[in-house]
Amino acid sequence: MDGQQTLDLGTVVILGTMGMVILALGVVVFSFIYQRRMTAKQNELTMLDLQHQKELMGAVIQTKELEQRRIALELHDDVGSTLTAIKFSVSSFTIDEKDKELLNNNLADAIQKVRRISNDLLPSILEELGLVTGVKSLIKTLNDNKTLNYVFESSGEHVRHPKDVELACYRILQELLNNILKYANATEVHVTIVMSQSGITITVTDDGDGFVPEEHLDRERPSLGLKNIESRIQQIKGEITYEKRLPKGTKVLIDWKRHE
Amino acid sequence: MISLTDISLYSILLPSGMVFFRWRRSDVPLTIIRILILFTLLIEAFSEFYISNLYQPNHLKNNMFLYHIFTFCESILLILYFRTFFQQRWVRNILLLLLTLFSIFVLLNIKFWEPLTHYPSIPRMIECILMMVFSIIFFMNLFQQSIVTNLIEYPHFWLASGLLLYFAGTFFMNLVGQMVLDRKKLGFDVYDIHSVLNIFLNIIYTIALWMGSRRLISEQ
Repeated sequence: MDGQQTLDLGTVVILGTMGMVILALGVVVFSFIYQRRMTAKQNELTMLDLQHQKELMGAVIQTKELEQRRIALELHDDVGSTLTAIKFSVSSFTIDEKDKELLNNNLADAIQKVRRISNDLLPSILEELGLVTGVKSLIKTLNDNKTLNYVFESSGEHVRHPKDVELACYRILQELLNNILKYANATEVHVTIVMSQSGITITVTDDGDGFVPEEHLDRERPSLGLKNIESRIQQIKGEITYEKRLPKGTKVLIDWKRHE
Repeated sequence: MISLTDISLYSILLPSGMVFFRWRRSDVPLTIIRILILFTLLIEAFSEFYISNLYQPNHLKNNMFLYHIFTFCESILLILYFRTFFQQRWVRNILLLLLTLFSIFVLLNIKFWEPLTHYPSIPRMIECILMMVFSIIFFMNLFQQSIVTNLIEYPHFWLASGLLLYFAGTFFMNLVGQMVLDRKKLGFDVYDIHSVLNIFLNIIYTIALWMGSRRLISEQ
């Protein structure tokens, strides 16, 4: 009788232990699967949110470009033409020659400014003659300001790529050159463009303090310019890499491949 | 021949090795686990010395008082370990209260029910229940916070799982109480259950410490 009782207790202990272990294992496996599913769902939501943000940023840039284009055309075709017409009319005015000259100079200055603003907003040379000529003109303007020494080189084929791609490359380059001028403490900047049927490769190197965006992520307010560059790159499905040069300076490589 | 009890005894060397050879400054909960591992090593070593002839050739070889001390310290360290995962002040206070009540109970148990020469089955069972509940709450807490993306690389997931399985597995063994000492009374060596689960727990400790040190390296 006693032997039967102890045997029963032994069976209870073994079965109970097995039951408890299986239950505990069930809890662990359930927790593992549940957490994995939850993480996957959360990742999906984050990806969607990110995608939405990218689309939103792209739409903002596109709207900005359209608005800039509209203002540039208005300035060039309307305000510019009106000023030119006034300039011609002034010559027929019967006023003092000295005043006429002063008025003419002021009008010429105003026309020049309108053209410059219009060109900044929509680089017509870029639209008409392409990226290489557009960048060459931009570099010439920058060199005229005598702030830094800009050197420009281009090679490859004479090809045109989609307007939105050329405009994005141009804007990115504008932003990069602006950043170098403002923050890099550089003296010389080299810009090279290699054009081919398969894509565009732009290299910007400077001899400044050296910069890679990853080192500036902890800033309280992330740079809007860098965000713009990132959005434009994503919009054209290109790539941008930043590299610190030794002993000083930065090399930025923009690469865009034609997707058939 | 090496018995299962011997393997179980020496298995503490695995996590202890991790503590010694991969010692890094880590978060508070992992430090508590390291302290627990070192304490276990110390108790096991002393226990072996105490029951050997090196201590005294012909003394009464009852080392149950060490099991009482171990149960008490292990429970306190594990309550403190789980306490680190809760941010709410009231939960933390409740755990402190629980810790105090458990300590009082352990003393009363020694005085009135299970003296130092007996197997401390009641505190062990209470410890089992507490640890199982804490492990489950830990998992629920983990879901709510959802800060961990990869559970495999999260050392505390390994630890909570290991502790849950160990304490769930030893629960019924503690139920038979003093019979644990009279090993063959149930028709089998009931302590083998503990040995198997103890080896398993020590492997889990080792994996968790390994994961913890890997995480620290990748964070540096």
